[in-house]
Amino acid sequence: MPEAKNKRGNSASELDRQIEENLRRAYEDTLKEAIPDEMAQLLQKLKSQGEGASK
Amino acid sequence: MSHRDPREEMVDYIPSLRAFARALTQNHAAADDLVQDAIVKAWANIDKYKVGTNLQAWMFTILRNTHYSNLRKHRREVEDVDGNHAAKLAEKAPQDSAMIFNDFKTAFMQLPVDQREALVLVGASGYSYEEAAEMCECAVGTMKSRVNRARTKLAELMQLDEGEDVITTEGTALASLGGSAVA
Repeated sequence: MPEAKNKRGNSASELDRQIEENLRRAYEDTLKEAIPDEMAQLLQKLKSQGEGASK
Repeated sequence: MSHRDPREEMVDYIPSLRAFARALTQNHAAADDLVQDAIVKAWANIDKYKVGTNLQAWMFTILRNTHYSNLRKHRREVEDVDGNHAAKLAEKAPQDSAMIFNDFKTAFMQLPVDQREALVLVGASGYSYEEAAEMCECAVGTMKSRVNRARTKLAELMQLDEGEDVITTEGTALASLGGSAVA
């Protein structure tokens, strides 16, 4: 793998900051999304199956 | 003091599981399928979870293992090397600093999967290198190096002019995965 070079040395820290910021933003955007119904239903189903089995 | 039943807590981790899954799969539908598989497995193996330890980390590990095991079984499902998905993601970005964000997402999807997961675990989810290394079953030094290489590569990609061709590394990552661990 070739060594990555900073073509513009003075912008490296700015780029690092942007990377950090955008990484978090992409992650947090996903966290804000509502849980899909099928996942909530899946948990509900697993829960009721467990209750059925333990009785 | 009693802990909540960990199964009751699983729902709280669905959003972060989805975020992690998207970094691994590059496809939202596949990511959600993966999350569902991971939930079923976590539920079935709840007796193996040590109460009081990090449930999110435990579920991330299950999700990750499920992903790689699926990959070995159905390698075709993850192929998105033409970057269509990255382009789709990019369309939805809001306006402010949208260009940088788009560049970032496009660049992120060009990283090898081991670097993407390293960045999500350490850079976005806030796990320590040690924790992330444990979850990915690699050495701490390897985790550090993945994060560093990912950051360097992103910086490099984000400096390229739009439209400039970049060789995607995904194919290589998948090939090496398949090659090393074929059952």
